[in-house]
Amino acid sequence: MADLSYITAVVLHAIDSGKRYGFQIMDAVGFPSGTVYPALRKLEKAGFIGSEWEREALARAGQRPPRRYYRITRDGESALVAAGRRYRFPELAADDAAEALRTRREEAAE
Amino acid sequence: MNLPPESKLLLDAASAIVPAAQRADWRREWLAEIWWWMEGQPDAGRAPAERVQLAYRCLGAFSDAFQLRMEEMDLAPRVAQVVGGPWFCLAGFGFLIAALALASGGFRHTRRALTGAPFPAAGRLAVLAQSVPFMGGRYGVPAATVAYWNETAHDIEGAAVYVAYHSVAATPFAGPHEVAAAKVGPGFFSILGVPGVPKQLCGDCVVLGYDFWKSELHGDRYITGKIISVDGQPMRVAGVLPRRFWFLDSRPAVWSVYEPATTWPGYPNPLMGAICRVKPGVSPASARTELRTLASRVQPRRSGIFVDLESLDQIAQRPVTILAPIWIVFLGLAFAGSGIARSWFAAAKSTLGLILVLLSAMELGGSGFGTTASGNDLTAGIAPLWLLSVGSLLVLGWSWSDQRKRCRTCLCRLSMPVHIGSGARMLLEEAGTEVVCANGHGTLFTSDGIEQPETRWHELDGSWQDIFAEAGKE
Repeated sequence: MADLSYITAVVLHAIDSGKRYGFQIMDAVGFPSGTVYPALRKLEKAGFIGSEWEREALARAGQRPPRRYYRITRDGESALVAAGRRYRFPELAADDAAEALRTRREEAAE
Repeated sequence: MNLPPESKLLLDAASAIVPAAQRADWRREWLAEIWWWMEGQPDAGRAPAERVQLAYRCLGAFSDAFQLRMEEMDLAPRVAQVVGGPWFCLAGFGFLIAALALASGGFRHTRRALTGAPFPAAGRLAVLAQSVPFMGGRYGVPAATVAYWNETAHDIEGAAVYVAYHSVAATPFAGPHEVAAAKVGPGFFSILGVPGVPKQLCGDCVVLGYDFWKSELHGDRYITGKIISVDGQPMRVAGVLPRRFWFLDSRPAVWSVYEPATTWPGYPNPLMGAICRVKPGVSPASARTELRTLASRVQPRRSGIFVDLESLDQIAQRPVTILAPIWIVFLGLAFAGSGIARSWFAAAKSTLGLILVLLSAMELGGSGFGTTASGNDLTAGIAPLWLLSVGSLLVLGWSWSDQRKRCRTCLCRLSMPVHIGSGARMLLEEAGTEVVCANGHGTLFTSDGIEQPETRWHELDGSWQDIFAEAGKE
């Protein structure tokens, strides 16, 4: 994956900016799920992002299903720098209040 | 979690596409995201608007599932090979031309321009207008002047006014609604020679356009003599125009008579479009001179404004006569370039691209190029002229650039770019990018030169093709 497409680069940029899971990335970049998820798969296959599941015990304690979190890798960071020279990334939409509250609670629990 | 049934159905259907080994994790991820999303909604994802939104999000699961399936089957390289092949490019142009044919009703304007006006002895039909020398501007003619020509001119069989406007019509099948309409002189259809329509239209008569009759009156075969409402007045249907009838660029649904005294009493002598039929054996120039002389008797002469007469065929064919010579120049350039490149493919794709541009300009030009009586020749023709010129240049530029990025043997797009060398060590080795033919025919090196990057094609021997084929199977 030598050259990132614009969409893939924007998704990578969103993850680098702290967006961690599928629907959050969708809302931040404004692309539909049918665009964001395939981009996530491509990025993961190329080794530009990694993913990990939330700890089962933590999810169970919160009475909710465990979530899959994405994070950018070193290779991803380099690819993003290269993509940043070619593309101008859009401003990411802020999380809505409910989402932000949940994320904060979740991070505090971790 | 109570997932709405439509979203559950979408997710179940999409999960069937996901490779079995990844399916459990895939479902887990989607269900978790959906759970979180529903929790954040005011009605927990149960309100109709929220359900629609959720279903839309779940629709994307199909793309995700296809992506995983394609990765598993390693379909992407195969798809890339087909997409990069020469036939895909030609088929793409074929598809675009077919789409244009569909959108334009089978190249309606192009066919008209090539076949001319569909009236008997159409060569003697002419459109009358007042023209000014500056930028070819054209105006209508006063209705009173047209009436005077009808009474006194010897060189024409008759003249009639026409003007397009928006009317309100009501039929037994539909209440009052706005339709495109036209007011014409009583002898309008007789001058054109349209069959199935009375030679002289009466004041309370209306002639229907074919499309209007077909769609709004359900093609009623016994419509003649029945009453419909036009502009709030009951009007008797005098006939239906033939399917192939067209007149300039307007497609009115209802045609009724223009009567100077009663139609639009607030505008007693408006400027209108006009047509005439020149008598057999009379030249258009002679008819023009007579009509100008007669017009000068009934209307004040304004300097630089003259009554002009132009054949209806000439007007209909104007897009061809203006666009075709320019297009032929571009086609010549395309063939000259293809000859230099010694490539049938370059010639084929440039030709198809130029045909697409020409047809687009013709369809756009059909409603431009001054095919109405009033307007401006130059400004009306600018959009199609620009489209043709800029579009042709873009097609040729793209064709040339695309040709350079293709294998010289199999014509597939070159791929897998690799950067070679370093700009900092340019004295020791040349820096640049190398792309390779996926079928192993050769490599293309493009140097990083700032002013004029150099490209070099390096043909690989046959053994490489076997290695590439083996790699493709793996």
